[in-house]
Amino acid sequence: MDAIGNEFVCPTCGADVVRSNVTCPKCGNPLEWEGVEAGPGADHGGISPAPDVRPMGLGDIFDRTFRMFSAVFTRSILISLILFLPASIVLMFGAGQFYRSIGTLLQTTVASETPGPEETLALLVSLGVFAISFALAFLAVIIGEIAVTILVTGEFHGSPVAWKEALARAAGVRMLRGIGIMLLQGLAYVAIIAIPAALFGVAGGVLMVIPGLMISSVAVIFLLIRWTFSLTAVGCEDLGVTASMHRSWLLVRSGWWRVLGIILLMGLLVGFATMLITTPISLIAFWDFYREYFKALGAAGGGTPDPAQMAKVMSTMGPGLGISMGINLMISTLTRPVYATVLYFDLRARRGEFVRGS
Amino acid sequence: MDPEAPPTAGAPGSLNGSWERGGRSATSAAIAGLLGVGLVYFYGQSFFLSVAILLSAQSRHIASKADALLPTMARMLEAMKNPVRVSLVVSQFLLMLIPTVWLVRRWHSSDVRGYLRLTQCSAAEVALASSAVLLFYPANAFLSQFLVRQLNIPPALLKANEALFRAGSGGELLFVLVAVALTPALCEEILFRGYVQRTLERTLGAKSILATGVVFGLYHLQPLGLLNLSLLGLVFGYFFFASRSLLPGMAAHFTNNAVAVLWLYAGETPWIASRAGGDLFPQLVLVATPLSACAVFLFSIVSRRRRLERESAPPFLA
Repeated sequence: MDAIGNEFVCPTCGADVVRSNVTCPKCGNPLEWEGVEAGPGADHGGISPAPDVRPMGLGDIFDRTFRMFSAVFTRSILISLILFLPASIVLMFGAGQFYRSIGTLLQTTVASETPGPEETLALLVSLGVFAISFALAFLAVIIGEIAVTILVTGEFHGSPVAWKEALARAAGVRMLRGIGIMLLQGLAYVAIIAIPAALFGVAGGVLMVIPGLMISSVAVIFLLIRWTFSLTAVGCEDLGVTASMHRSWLLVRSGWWRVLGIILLMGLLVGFATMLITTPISLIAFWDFYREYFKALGAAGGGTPDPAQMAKVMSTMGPGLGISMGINLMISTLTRPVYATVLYFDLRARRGEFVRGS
Repeated sequence: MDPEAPPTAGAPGSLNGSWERGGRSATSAAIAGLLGVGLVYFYGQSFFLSVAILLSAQSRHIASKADALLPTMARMLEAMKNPVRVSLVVSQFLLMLIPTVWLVRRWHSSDVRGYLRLTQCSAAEVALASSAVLLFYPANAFLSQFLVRQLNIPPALLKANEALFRAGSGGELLFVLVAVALTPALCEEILFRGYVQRTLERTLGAKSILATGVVFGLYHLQPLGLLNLSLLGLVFGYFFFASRSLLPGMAAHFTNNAVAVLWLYAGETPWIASRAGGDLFPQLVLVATPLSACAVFLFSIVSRRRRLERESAPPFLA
């Protein structure tokens, strides 16, 4: 059998098959794989036994997602805490430094003084620290997403994975693949947005940039959905950078609109749940900021607060922002991989990857 | 009756909806339903509010005047209060009540009233539930004021926010009572207790009171009121759980919101009461809160007798 990434061809009819197919989804011909024992319990994608998954309706996807979320909850919370507690502290520090520098700069400007090189340098340094802390948080997101995907995959295969093992697997070569995927996709999106906008701009002036951007946006949305399971493929099947992107591309091929709809719906539901949870947390995180702001507002008698006081208020914003960002990233890491993995298995089932016999 | 048992199609009081037929989890249904209805309600309400603001020429006129922030905001809220009240009523019925009823019918049972426990209860249960919440009101108000003071919120801002609840005449009072007391008492109770708690109860039992109470607090997106609202949610949930009827919780919810409106109508705001009333308010809290606990205790005795009677009735309604 020919192999292109993870894609193989049926020797009888030439249809696309994957390594976990027992029979060809098109002609029903039994498939034989080198080094893999056929039949139930065979190794499919690195984790055994093979799952008994059938194509799911929307209600089943919801139900499976909530069941999986409960099944891996304690382990994924532990992983998230290990990753995001330090990441949040670093973010708090980075954002705190940045906003303190902005506050100082604003206070200098309000006092009608030109900011000196020391203040400008402090702002640039704090911006660098903030960017580094943000990059570290981003790394935590990649490791967390892959680790939670490994946990959910284990549940699908009926072989639960311990949190330490999931974390260890995610933090190794899979993390590097995750970074590779993000960089590659990021570059593709930037190129798709920048190139047509520049071409249209050169050809027809500034006004033509807008249609160029609109066309690019459609292309980016199309690719975002086609590549939406790239990270899931790394966690689920331990594939390489391009193989993961290719796998996602193939899985979404026959149901792009369906995947878009489910991803959007799940994103909206999770976003709403996140808003409910983070609203009170944000109040606590921004407590000092709100206290100072209301104090300034009260002192101004309901009018416009004194700019110098507002500059001081601004410098209290950083730690709250750091905590808030950390918690949002943590919730996203706990939820997104769960529904993405459920949908991933549904798409695989739709391709007949788990069908045994005709 | 085993709640997860296969449904008897078509029989009154059976779990014959699509979610039940698929053998899916009740907890998943409660969470999906809560988030789904919440999403529709919040985005829909935002849409209705935006339309109301756009249609209100008066508010545009006020906003265009150059003035200080808080006085402008107060005037805008005053000018916008009626469109906001109408959009609140419309969105609660259209985007909260109707989707909830639709979900119950489609996912769970054709016997919507039975599922939601829109069943009769005694006058004593309604009276005790309302009294308990009425007597809890001073403690609730005291807690809010404490947090407001900690945050240095300017009194002018608090007063501006009260515009929605303040009535200037008898007719307006009736309208405000319908908009902010009766409507949430019906719609929110049907969603939170009737659907979410009722569905969670099938897998979590009494723990569903705690889960729904906290969610009720979070759902209002008022971080300063989270503790109060969650406490109220727990009390309403207990009434629902103990009486196996939605009506005591609805009565209690209506009482709580109506007291806030009547308090303002009487010319007293909780904030003013705490400042001008001096020592009276803490004393009122100390007297009323234990009495509220007594009312809840009496409720548990009354409802226990009635619950035993009901549990001998069809199991689905129990």
